[in-house]
Amino acid sequence: MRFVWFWTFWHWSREGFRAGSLLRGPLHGIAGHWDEWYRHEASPEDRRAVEDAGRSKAAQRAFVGWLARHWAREAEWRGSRPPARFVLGQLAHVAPFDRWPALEKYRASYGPAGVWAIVLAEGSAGESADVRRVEALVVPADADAAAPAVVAEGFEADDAALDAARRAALGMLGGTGLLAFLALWVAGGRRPYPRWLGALLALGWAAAAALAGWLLVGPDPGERLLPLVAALAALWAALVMTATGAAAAVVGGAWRLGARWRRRLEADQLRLRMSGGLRLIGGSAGVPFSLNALLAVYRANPAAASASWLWERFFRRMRAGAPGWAATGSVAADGRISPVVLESKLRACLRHEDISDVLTPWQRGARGRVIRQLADGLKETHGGRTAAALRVGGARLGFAAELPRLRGHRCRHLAQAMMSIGGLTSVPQVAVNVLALAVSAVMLAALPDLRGILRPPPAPAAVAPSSPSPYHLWVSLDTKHPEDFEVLLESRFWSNRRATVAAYGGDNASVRAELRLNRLDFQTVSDEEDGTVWIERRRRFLTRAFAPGERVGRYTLSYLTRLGHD
Amino acid sequence: MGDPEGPARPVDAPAPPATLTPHAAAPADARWTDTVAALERGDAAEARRLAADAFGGGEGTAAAWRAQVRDVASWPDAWLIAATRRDPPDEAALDALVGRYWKPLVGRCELLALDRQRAGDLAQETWYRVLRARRALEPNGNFPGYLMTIATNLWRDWNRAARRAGPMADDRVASIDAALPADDGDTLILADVLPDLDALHADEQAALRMDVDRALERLGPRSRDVLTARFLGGESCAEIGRRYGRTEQTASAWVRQAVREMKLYLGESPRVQPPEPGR
Amino acid sequence: MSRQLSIEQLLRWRLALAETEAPPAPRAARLLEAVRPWWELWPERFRAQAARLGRMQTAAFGYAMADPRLARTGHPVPALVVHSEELETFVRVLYFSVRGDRLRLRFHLDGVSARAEPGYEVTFVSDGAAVGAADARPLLAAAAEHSTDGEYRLDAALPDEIAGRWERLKVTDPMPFRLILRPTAAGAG
Repeated sequence: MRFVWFWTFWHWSREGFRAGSLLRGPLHGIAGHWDEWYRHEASPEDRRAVEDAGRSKAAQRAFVGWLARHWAREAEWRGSRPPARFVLGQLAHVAPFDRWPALEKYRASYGPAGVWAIVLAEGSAGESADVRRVEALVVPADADAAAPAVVAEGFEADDAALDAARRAALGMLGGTGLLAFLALWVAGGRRPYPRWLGALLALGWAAAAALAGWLLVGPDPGERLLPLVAALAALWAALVMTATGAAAAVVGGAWRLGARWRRRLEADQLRLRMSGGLRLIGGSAGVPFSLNALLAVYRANPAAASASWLWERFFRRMRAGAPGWAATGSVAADGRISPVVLESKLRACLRHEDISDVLTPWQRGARGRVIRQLADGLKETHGGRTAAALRVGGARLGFAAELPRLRGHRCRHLAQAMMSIGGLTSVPQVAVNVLALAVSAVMLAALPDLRGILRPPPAPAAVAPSSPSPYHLWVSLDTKHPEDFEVLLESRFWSNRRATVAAYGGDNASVRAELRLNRLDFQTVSDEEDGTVWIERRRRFLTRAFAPGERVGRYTLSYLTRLGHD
Repeated sequence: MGDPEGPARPVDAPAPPATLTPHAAAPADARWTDTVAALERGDAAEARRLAADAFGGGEGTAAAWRAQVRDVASWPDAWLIAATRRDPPDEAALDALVGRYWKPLVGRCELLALDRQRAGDLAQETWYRVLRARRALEPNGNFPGYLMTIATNLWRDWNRAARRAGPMADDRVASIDAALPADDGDTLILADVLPDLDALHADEQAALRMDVDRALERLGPRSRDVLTARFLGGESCAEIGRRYGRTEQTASAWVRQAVREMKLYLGESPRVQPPEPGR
Repeated sequence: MSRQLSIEQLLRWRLALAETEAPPAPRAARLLEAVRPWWELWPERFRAQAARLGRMQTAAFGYAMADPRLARTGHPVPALVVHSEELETFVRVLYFSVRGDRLRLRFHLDGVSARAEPGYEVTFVSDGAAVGAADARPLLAAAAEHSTDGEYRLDAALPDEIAGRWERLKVTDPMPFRLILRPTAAGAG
């Protein structure tokens, strides 16, 4: 077993914690524990072995590799594996590791940085140095109950501001923040379909809209009404099921994974590192802190993101794009972003070569026009020699006399910031959604009509009562769908009439059509009971009535006038 | 001694005066035994009283014993340390102990600090530390070695920044390796010099002293420490390594490196020349 | 005429010169006076600081934990940091070990500027200070050195009577002392 001495130290630390001589757990107190063990507890053989491990850079790298790949997998503390980068970052500051060149990179950094924070130094008008690298790491919670949930390294900040940023991140993993994020995504976010399927769906909605439009305003389809309506209904149903099914799957996956990550962030300690030794006043770095907290949760177990298309997409984009993004804004625990003083911060971003995008609160000073004006001002100040960096295949090319380019993304809520940085907003999808909503609204409104066409109710029978007045004809029907039927009187004595069926209340309550009997001016018969009453189906689509449908009932006038009077 | 890593062999400490020890006393003379017992437990006042009572009017051996008890400067380290450990410490014994090791201590401090004023401060501070921990002193331990260790550790604390440059000193040395003499011996030839260093004129002494000081100054703090510990303190490489938390091999390499550096720096002086190859 | 000399001989010669020119040894009385504990040199100052220390209240850190094995909290130790002015603060003991007559202690200083002092002279004052200055007595003084990230380490010899009482203390127990911290400048001398 290699590096036995480190295991010896680790066991001493664990036992010391258990025995009550060490307050902090072996993970959080690893630097101090190592210092103590190395000075007083290590045997001469251990010290010789440590010295051997540090004898050359290659040997040091071997130790670092062993610690990251083997020890971190085998060691366990409170059910979690120690994060190797945290352990190396802590050890890098204590003897003898503080003299090892192989640990140089761990002394100042936990690894890849996240979204940059814009924190102005005192008196600064906005310099590139005010855009500061932020690193975040989640580690299992310290056993010391007095340890804070958020630890600031390299800077000082109000506990309340740090806590708000953490709680905002928690909310984005499970809570109203996540609901807002999911709602934004449903409303206009990229979908997980391949491009061809997305185009097909868009065409489908367009076709449904066209069909609905034709039914509303086009020529009467006549006999083709049924197949057309069936096609429309089927298309619409398929589109809705596809859209809602996909959205539900994405939302469900994101919710479940978010809940898991939220539990992790609640239980773990968040460590934020930002160089500069600043004392932050106000919470204007809340947005980058919250975003980096999310990134830290993801990085603790990136494989878990495969359970959710949405989270995976978001974090993949954020991880790749974070080096070019800066953020500013005070964030509340519910994720809402408050305005901050902005001009100097935008100037700092314009001066920073690496920043291409900036997330800001929703305020006037963050409009694109304002940013362009600031950029113009900078160009004039530097005589056109402001160099903007363009990345081509990973290499940076410098161009002199080019305007600094900075895209601003204004946000009212952290969810919007996540949509922006994750590249999740899709204008075509918004258009499709609007179309889909419109079509669906039409379809929902026309559902009774569609039902009447596709699945007409059974033909009703004429029932009592008939009209008590000789001047009126009541055709009462035993149906629950009066709107689906019409009554037509054909007679050589009386005027031909058509009437809709409706429900009537009162003493003679019934579902009936009421026709007023008017004698024809030119009667061809003298029989007052001459006449045939037809029951016809009505066919409508919203405000449009189609030509009458099939005749499903026929009664003589004499029969109907006598119904109920026998 | 209070420091478990103290070196084992005193080299520089001036030997205590020859004394009549209890082992040389007549076995039947319990008075001397009682007196020695009082001295060994540090009760100097009791020892003086016993000696005065027991040997007050005696001649010969008794007179010698009486004189020895009275003459604190002739006490062995063990008696002086025992008397210093007590509360309150015996001032006469402490005076004798300080006086016995003051010059060697200051001398070593001056080779470390290369500044007389600072050497004096370092020596005083060393004694402060020894006295603050005097209850843990072991009468039969290696007191001069313990003293030098305290002084060296204190000096290392004072030069923490210089100590961090230790690796840089290694790099610096590595870059001049090519200029170092090929042999590993520590011989030097002094050119145009009388056979006896002590017979040098004052001016020559001063000039040679400056050369030595400059060479020592150019050594890193750690190299200076290991060189003086090895050659003046008589510490073994294992002991030096233990003090630094390193192996004997590492300490040995440091010593060799320090010697080579000294030869190189001294070789730049007009007053010394490295030996010709083959000599 | 030349002569071969070794480095060792040169160094011994240089040492002999230094010894010859050494200043006279300090008197024992002066040395003993210089190492008297500060509370003996300035008893009034000690009494005042101990009284102030005694008036400091420790908050009740009552964490209601569902499983106390999973988290623990130490008892904050009142501390008075004596700079140009006196600053009341608390110390969290992170490591406490008494073996034989040796105390090894690590602590974290709360509420003090992030620019940590390189070291402090730590005076342990009996916790009887809580009941009145008259009962406060100094237990021992030792040097604490900055270790890492605001932590200080201390390694001191304990008087036997104290070692026997403190041997069984755990880091989660209330500490039977309060502290007076006086910064020590690095490279003093």
